[in-house]
Amino acid sequence: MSVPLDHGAVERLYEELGRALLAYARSIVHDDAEAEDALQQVFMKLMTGRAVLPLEPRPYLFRAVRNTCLNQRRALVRRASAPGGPASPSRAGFAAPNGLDGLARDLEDALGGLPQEQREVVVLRVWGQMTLEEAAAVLGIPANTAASRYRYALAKLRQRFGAHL
Amino acid sequence: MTDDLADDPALEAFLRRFEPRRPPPLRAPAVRPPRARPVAVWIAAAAVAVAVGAMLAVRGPPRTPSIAVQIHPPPRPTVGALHAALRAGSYEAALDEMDARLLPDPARPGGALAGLADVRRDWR
Repeated sequence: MSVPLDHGAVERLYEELGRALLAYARSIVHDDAEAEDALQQVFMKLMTGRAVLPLEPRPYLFRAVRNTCLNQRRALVRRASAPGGPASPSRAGFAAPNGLDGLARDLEDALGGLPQEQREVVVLRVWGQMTLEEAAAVLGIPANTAASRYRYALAKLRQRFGAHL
Repeated sequence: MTDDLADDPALEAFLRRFEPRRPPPLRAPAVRPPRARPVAVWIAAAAVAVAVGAMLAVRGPPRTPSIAVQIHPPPRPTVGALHAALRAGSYEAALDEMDARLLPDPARPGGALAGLADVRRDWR
């Protein structure tokens, strides 16, 4: 079942989920501008009524962002032979909490060092606040596969940040 | 069940302390003004309508053939005339005369058959 949204409702969703959605988009495309653009595209479709949300919007939105990012990547590969400008400089994707200054960049590096399939699950689970079943549905993989990837990713992150826990 | 096996609550709590950055403000969808048809399109449509109307108004009656068709209604044979011809012994001659008048004369000048037979008209 789906519900039509007015602009105010779309903006509230953007406010509520925008940070997590942007982090997820960045986990796929690695380019800030492309990640932001993907997010804008998804919400623009909602604003203009070209897409309608299900009652539970969270998995839908993450899935939509994923599809948009993957489409952008495919377009980028097709344009690979054409000369293009450099990717937009990466801005800090995370704000470090008080007392942990300097670790935000470490976190970016650690996430960047993960295979994409593991990175996506981590972002969906940790910042997207999804269950592994929901994350698996977004990724189109079995729940056990999502759990396995998440386990491997957490093991690597624990090696990096275990001392701070 | 799947979550229980994979969870590392302490690490997850640590990671969640790092807040993803805020995305830029949502762009408002562009509102396109209604497309105004070019004036030339309307002028052309009006011109076509006027031309069609003029054609229909000026169209005269169907063209009549230029061939002058002279219609001579054939004389009606009467019983009295035939009876009289029979007494006079000229019944056969009376019938021949009637046939000559009733049947069209292809060679009659100005006649329809003479006009149709005049192939020279078609080639002028």
